[in-house]
Amino acid sequence: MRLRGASVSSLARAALGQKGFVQALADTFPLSLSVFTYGTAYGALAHSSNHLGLAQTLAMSAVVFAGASQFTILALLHDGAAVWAVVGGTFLINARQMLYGLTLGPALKQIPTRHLAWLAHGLTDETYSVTTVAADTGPLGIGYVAGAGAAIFGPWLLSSGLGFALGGLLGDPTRLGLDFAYVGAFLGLLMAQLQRPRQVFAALSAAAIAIAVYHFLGTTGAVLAGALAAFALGVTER
Amino acid sequence: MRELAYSAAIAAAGLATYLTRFPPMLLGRHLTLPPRMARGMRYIPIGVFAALVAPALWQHVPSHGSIHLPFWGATAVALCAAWKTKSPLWTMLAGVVCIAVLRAAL
Repeated sequence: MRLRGASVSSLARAALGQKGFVQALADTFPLSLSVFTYGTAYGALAHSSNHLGLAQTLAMSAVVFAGASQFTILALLHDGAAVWAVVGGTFLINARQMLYGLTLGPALKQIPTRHLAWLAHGLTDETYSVTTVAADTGPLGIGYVAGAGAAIFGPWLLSSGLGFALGGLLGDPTRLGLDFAYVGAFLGLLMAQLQRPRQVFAALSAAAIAIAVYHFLGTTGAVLAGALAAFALGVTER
Repeated sequence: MRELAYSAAIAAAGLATYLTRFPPMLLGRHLTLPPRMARGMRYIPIGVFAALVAPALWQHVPSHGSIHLPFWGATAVALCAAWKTKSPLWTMLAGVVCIAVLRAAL
């Protein structure tokens, strides 16, 4: 009996514990909602561009799984761009994820390579944000990384299909205030990171630089420049 | 024919995106950083979060007579919620409810 009790509780700990799958779903929830509204917009645009069917719209969400780049791919296909232009553009738009993977790497040492190979597909702005905060308290397990990925992948796929199905029928999401979900979720993530004056200064510097760079180089340029500014302030902290 | 070209483009774009995901993770796993570099790395999430949200805020800076009152009201409420709760979920919910109410009222 004792043995059984112990095994049940250790199972529950594995499932619900600090770095388990369910915990990751809960931690990622605000971003799941934000992604859902974004994915609906993608699906509706794919429908109205009249180039992709439902299967291809969903396939892109499953295979590429990166918001901003999917909007760009729709535009490029619409303009009749060549495959190499689509591939090159997609790579550049998603290049910031290389920084995410590199910096998460040390917290992923416990995960076997064969599992990391499929877990890696879940990496996005959103999953990076949640897992990098969790990595502060210890190494990441398969359950947590899979949970964070699933909490974004599920809503992204679902909302892409929903947006496509509803097409032009869909009302304006601003009516419900859902367009604020993105700003609210990332503002919350940022604020939770700021404890010391230097960290506040780092956030403000990164924000100013990101705004300047975004105008010319888009999200990837903004993220890389902002990360570099914050990194410089971290390295020079005494 | 065009169907096929689109499918090929989507598959190739997927592969290109995967290359921004998996290989850097593999490389990062072998990274052992000196303490100074590690301190810098701990600041990177701050820079990334700020860079993801700042351009979205900048879009709403008042210009040409539009002051985006609901947006800035919601941002102020979200900041208060973030400060009080330290929770991304409550921050987001407070902002979404606030902007919906302000839009309905104004």
